[in-house]
Amino acid sequence: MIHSLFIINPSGDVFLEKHWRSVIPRSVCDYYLEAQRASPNDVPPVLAAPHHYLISIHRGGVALVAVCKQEVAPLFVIEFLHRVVDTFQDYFSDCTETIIKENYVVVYELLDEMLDNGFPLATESNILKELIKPPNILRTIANTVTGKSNVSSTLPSGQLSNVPWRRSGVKYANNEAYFDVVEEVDAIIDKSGATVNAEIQGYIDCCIKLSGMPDLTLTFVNPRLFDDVSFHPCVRFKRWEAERILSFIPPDGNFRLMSYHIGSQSVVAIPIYVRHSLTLRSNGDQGRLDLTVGPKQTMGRTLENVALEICMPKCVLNCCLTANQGKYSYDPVSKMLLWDIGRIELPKLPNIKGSVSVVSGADTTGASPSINVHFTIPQLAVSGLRVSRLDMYGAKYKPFKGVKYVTKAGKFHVRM
Amino acid sequence: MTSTTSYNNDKVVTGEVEYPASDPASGAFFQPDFKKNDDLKLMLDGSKDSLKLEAMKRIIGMIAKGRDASDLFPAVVKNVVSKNIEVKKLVYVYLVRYAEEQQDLALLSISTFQRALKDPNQLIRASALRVLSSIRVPMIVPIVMLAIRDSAADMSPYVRKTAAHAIPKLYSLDPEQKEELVAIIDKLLSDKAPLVVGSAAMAFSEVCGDRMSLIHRSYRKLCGLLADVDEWGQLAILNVLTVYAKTFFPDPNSEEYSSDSESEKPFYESDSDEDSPRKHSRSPTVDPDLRLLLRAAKPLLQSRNSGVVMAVAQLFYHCAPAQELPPVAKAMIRLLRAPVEVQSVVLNCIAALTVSRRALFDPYLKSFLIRNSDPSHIKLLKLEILTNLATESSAAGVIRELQAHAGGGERGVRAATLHALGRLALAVRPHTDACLASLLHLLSSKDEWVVCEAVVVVKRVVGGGAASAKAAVARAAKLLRSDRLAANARAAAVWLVAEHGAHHPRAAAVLAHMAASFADQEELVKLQVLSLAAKLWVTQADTAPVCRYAVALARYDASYDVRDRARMLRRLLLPAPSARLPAHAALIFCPDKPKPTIESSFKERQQYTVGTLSQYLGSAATGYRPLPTAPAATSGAELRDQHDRAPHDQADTKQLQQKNKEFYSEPESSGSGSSSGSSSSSSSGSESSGSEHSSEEDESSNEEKPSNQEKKSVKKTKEINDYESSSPGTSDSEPDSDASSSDGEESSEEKETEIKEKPSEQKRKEQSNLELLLQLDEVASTLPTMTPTCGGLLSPPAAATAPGLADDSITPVGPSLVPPISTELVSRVLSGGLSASRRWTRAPHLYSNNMCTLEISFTNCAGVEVQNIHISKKFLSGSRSVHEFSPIPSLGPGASATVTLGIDFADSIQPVELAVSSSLGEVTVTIKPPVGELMRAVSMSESRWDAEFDKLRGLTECEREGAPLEDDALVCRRVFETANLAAVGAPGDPLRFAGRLLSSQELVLVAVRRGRGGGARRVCARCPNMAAASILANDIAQAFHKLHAV
Repeated sequence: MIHSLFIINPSGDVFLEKHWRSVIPRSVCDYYLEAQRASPNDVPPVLAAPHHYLISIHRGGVALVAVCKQEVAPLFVIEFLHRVVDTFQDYFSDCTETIIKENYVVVYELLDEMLDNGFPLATESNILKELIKPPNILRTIANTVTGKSNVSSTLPSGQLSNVPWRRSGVKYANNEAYFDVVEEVDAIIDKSGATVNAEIQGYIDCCIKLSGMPDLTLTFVNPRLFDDVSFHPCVRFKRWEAERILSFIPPDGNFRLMSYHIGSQSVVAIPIYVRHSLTLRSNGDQGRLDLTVGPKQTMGRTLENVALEICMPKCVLNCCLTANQGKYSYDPVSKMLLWDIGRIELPKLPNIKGSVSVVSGADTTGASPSINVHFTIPQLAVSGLRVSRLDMYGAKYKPFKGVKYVTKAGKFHVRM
Repeated sequence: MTSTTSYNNDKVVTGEVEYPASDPASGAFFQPDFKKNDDLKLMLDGSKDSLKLEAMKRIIGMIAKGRDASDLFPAVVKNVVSKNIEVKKLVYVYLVRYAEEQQDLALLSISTFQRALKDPNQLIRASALRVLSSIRVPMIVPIVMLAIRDSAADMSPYVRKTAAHAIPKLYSLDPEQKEELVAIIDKLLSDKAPLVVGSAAMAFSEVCGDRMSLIHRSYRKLCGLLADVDEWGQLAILNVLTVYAKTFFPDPNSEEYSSDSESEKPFYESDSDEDSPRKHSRSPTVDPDLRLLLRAAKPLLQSRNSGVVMAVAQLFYHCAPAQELPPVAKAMIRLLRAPVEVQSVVLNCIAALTVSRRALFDPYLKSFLIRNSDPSHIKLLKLEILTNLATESSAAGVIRELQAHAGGGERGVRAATLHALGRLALAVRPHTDACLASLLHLLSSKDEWVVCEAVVVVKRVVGGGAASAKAAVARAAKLLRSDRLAANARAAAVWLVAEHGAHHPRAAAVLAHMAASFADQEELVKLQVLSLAAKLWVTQADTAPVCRYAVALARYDASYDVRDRARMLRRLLLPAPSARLPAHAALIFCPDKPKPTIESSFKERQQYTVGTLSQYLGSAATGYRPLPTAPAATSGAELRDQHDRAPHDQADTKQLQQKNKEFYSEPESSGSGSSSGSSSSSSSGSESSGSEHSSEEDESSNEEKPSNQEKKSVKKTKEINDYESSSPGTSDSEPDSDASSSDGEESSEEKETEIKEKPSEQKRKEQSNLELLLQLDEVASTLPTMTPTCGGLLSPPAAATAPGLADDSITPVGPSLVPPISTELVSRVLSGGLSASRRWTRAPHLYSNNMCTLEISFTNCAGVEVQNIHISKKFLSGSRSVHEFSPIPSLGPGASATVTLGIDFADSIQPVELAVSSSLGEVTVTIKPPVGELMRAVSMSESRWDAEFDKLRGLTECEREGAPLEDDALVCRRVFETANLAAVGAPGDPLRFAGRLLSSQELVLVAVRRGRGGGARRVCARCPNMAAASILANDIAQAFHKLHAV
C-alpha cells in the first residue's frame, strides 16, 4: 500500500510530503527526478528503486509520487493519486503548486482523511466535504468570529448509509439538474485523407442541485449505440442491464455519471477535413506549406474553436506564412506551429500558406509530421445519441432539467 | 478511606509525569531551533484556541515541507486534550509523525485516546483508534491490542472498519501478535457491513494472505456484498478472492477436470438420481461457487475505477473459462482513454496477454495505432502489441503503420519499430518479403543509427533462411566497404556475409577488406571476421591465403579471446599429419541451422499475475506472491456450505437489516437457495469418509433437523455469550440489540469450526471461546431464574460447559467473602425519619451482568407510616445506568425493608447521585463505589494467570508497597475484604488473585509478593484499565497497613 506521498514541482523541488507509515527520507525522490531529467515528458508511471517502488502521476504541472515498499496493484495507486488531484480541484478549483502551498493545512487534513495506513478511507467528495469544509472567504470570516473550525466533529451519515456518495440534508431553493453530453472524436486520418481509425468517447457530466434524496431515471432514445460503458457507483447496474436506462440517486454537485465508448466497429462521422501539402525541398533551403480546412458531415452545425497544431520536423528552422483567417504562431524551440482559426463560416474556407526555412543539407526523408486538430461543435452529439426523458421519484418538487450536447475533437490526428 | 484514595491517586499521576519530564535534556540538543520556535511554544502554551490553531497550522506547514519540528513535541502533545476539534486533529497529525522519535513523551497522550475510545461519538472513537494504532511505540502494543479487540466488536461499522485498518499497523509494529490479530480479522471478515469487509480483506492480505482457509466461511457473503462495497474495498476483495478461487477451484479450462468431475467427487455421487440431471444441466466445468464469484464480479467491469476493472480482469484471466474473456478485453480497451499513467499500465498488461491470447484483442487492433502525441513509452508498448496481434490478414496494415513510424520520431521508438518489423517478418510468413524489403530500404538510410539497427534486425530475419538472403548479403557487403557502421552493426554485417554469403563471390573481397583493417576493429568484429575466414576456407579453396593471413593476424592480437579462437581454428583447419578434424571441417563450420525465432520480450511477464506491480516491472517485486496452481478438484465446498447455513436460517431477521441491498441482491438469494440443497447432501455424503470435517458435519446436520426454535435453544450458550460480549456496556435494550445478537451467533459458530479447521491453533481458540462462555456460567450458577432479556435464550447449565476445556478457562466464581458491614446511606436526621444503609452483596444483578448489586435497607424511624419510597431522579453520566428497585408502597413505623439496586458504574469510581423520595420528602444520595466492588471474582489455572499477567505489562501495571504481613491467610482476607477477587492457584509467593471488571469485562490481576527479608508486602495490580489498577493497588496496600496496625 502507499507508504508516503511526495508532491514535486516542475523544477524538481519536493514541496509537500506526507507519510502514512514510517518516515521515508525524501531522497527517494531522486530516482524519479533522475528519470524526469532523462526524458521530461516521458517518465514511466512506475519506477523501481532499490528498496522502494515509486508510482507517479503528472497533473496540473505538479507530480505526485507515491512510494510503496511492497507488491501492490499499480492501477490502484495511480487511480488513488488521480482521485487526490480530483479532490484538490474540487476543493480549491485547481491543483497547482501555489494553491497547494496556500492550503497546506486543508491539504494535509484531506490526505489524512483519505488514506489511513496507506489504504483509502474516505474518497467520496461529498463525504470529505462534510468532514472538512472547503475553504472560502465567508467561512473563514465566520470561523474567526465564532471560533468554529472547518473540521466536523460528527461522522457524515452518508459514510454509513448505502448511498455513501450523497450528503444528507441537502436543501436548495432552486432545484436544478443539468446534463452535459460530451462526445470526443478520436481519429487518425492518413496522408491521402482516408480514415485509418475513428472512435467516439463520450461522457455524461452532471451538475445536480436537488434537495432531499431524489431518485432519478434517465432514458435514452437510442441506447443501443453504446459499445462499452462505465458508470459512477450510484448507477444501478441491474436496471441498465435489463432496461437500458440509468437509474440512480445522484451525488450532490458536479460528477461524471457515465462514460461510454463507441468503437471502431461502428461508422463514425468525421466532421472536418484538412487538405495539406508540405514540401521541405522544393528550392534550396526553402520548403512550402499549404493548408486548407473545411467542414464535412457536420449535420448542418458550424465548427467552432478550430485550431491546428503541427509539430514540425527538427530540420525546420522557421515558418513564414499568411493565413486568410485566424492567427498563427511558430515556436522555433519546440518546433510547434499553432494556427488558431476560430469559427468556420462557409463559403470561405480558412487557408494558410507560405514558406518554411529548413536547415541546409538536413535529411528530410521520413520526416512526416502530423496535425493535431481541435474543434468544437455545439448542440450536436456526433454519435446521434439523444436523451429521451428524465424522471424523478422520491421528492415532491418539480426540478428544472436541462440537457446540453457538444462534440469535440479528442485525439484527432491528420498525418502529413 | 475515600479521601486517602483520591490523595494517592493524585500522587500516582504526578509520579507518572515525572518520568518523561526529565526528557527535555534531549531537547537541548536542538538549541538553535529551540530559539526559533519559541514563539510557537508560547502560542501553544497559551489558553487561546485561535492562537493554538495558528501555531499548529504553522507546525503542520513545517512538517509538510519536511522540516524538523520534533523539538516542539512537549508543547504540542499537551494539546491533545484540546476541546477544539481542529487543533486536536492537527495535534494527531503531529503526534503520528513524531511519536516514534519521542516515545516517552508520546506515552503521555495515550490515556487521552483510551478515554476517547469509550466516547459515545463514533467518529471520535474511530479517530482515537486510528491515531492510537498509528503511534509506533512498542510499549503500547498491549493497549492497542485491547483497543482493536474492543473496537472490532463496536456497534458502529465505521469503528469496526477503523479496527480493520489498525490491524496491519499493529502487525508491523509487533509481528508476534499475529495469531490474535488473525482471530480478529477472521471475525471482521464475516461482518455484515459492506463498509467493514473491504478493509477486513485488506487486513487479511497484509497480515495473513496465505491462510485461505479463513475465507471459506465468508466466501459467499463476500461475493454477495461485492457490489455494495466501496471501490477500494472491491479491489481488495477481488484480489483475495482471486487467490482463493485459484486455490480451491480447478481450472475451468483444463480438460481433465471436466471429464473427471463426476468420479472425483463424492459430493455428486451421493446425490439421489432425480437430482443428478439438474446438476448435469449446469455448466459442468465451472464450480457453482466459482460461478457465483464470476457473476458478482462481472458488473464491476463497468466500474469507473480502472484498478477495479483490472482486478476483475485478473480474476477472469486466471480463473474463468476462456470463452468469458471477451467482455474483459472490451473493458480494458476502454481504459485506454484514461490518463496516460493508466494507459501505460493497461497497455503493459495487454502486451503480456497478447503473447498467448492474441485472439482476445484481435478485434481492437486499431485501438493500438500509434499517435504522434503519445509519450514514447506508450509508443513502445503499442508497437509491441501491434506486433503480437498481427495476423496474415492484418499484417499488411500493421506493416504500413510501422513503416510510417520507422523514419521519424525518437530513437528508441525507431529502433523498436525496426525490431517489430523483424519480428513480423519471422512470425507472419507471407509478409516476410515485404518486411525485409522495407528493412533493406532502411539499410541505405542516411541516419547511421537507423542503419545499424536495421543490419542487426536483418541479420536475425535472414538467419531465418529467407529467400532474399542474397540481396541482403550484397547490401551488407556494400555497407562494410563504406566503413560507416558501428561495431555491433559491423559484426552483424560480417556475420551476415559469413552465414549466407559463403558461396558469394564478394565474400572474399569483404574478408580482404576487413583483414586490411583488422587491428583497428573491435573484438566483437574480429571474432566474426575469424568465423568468416574459417567458412571461406572451407567453401572457397582459392581464398586460403587471405584466410590464413587473417588467422595469423589474430594470433598476435591483444585479446586472449581472439587468440584462443585463432588457435582453435588453426587446429581445425590446418592439415596436420595426425589430424582427422579437417576432413570434417565443412560439417563443423557450415551445418544446417534451425531457424531462429524472435520472441516478444513480454513473454516472461506472463508468469506474473495480471495487473500486478511485478508484471509491470517484469521482475518479482518485494512481497509478490504468485498465484497457486489450480487443484485438480474443487475443495472446501463443504466448508462454504456449512457456514452458509447459519445466515440462511436467520434469513428473516437478516432481511430486515439488509434492506439496503436492493441493488444486486438477486444473485445472492438465488445462489443460497440452490446451495442449501447441495449442502445438506454434501454433508451426508462426507460422513462416510470419516474425515476431520465429517464429525462436524454430523453435528451441524443434526442441528439442521429440529425446527428453528429448537435449534436456537441448542445454540443458546454461545448466543448469549456473544450477545453480551459484543455489546459491552449496553445493558438496556437498544434498537440494535437484534443485530448484535445475530452477529454474535455467527461469530461463535465461526470459532467453533475454526477449532476443527486449524488444530494447531486450537488451544488459543478455546481460550477465547471460553472467555465468551464464562459470562453464561456465571449467570447460570448464581441466578436461579432468568430475567426477560436473556431468559428466552437460556438453557440448562449442563450444556454450558464443554468438559474437555475446563482446565484452561477463566470461570467466574462466587465472592470469596461478602463483607457484612453496611454503611449508612441516609441518616434519619436528614430525611426526617427514614434511615437507609447500604451493603455491597457482590452478587451479579438480575437485570444485567454489568451492574453491581447494592442492598439497601430502609428503616422507618419516624413515628408515622412512610409511603411510596422510590427513586425519583438519577444523575448519570456516560454509559452508566441504574436499575431501580421496585417502590416500597408503605413502611410502618419502626419497620424496615430491604431492596436491591443495580448500578452499572461503567468501571469508574465516579459517584452516582440518586434522589430517593418518599412521603417524607426527597433526599439526594451519593453512592461512590470502592474500586474493589467494580469487579467480580474469577478463577483460572495458575499457568493461565501467569500468561495473562505477562500480557498486561507496561502502562497497565501498578505496584505499591504495603505493610509487612506475615500470615498468608491474613493477606488473603485483607484482599478479599477490599476487592471482589478470587485466589488463584496454591498459596505461595506471589499470592495470585483474579477478577474481571463488570462493564468492560477486562481482567484484573493482583499479585502480592513477600518483601525482601521479611519486609513489606508488595502489591502489584494489573488491569487494562489503568485507573482501576492503580486505585486497587492503593486500596489493598492501605488495607494491609490499617489492619496491621490493629
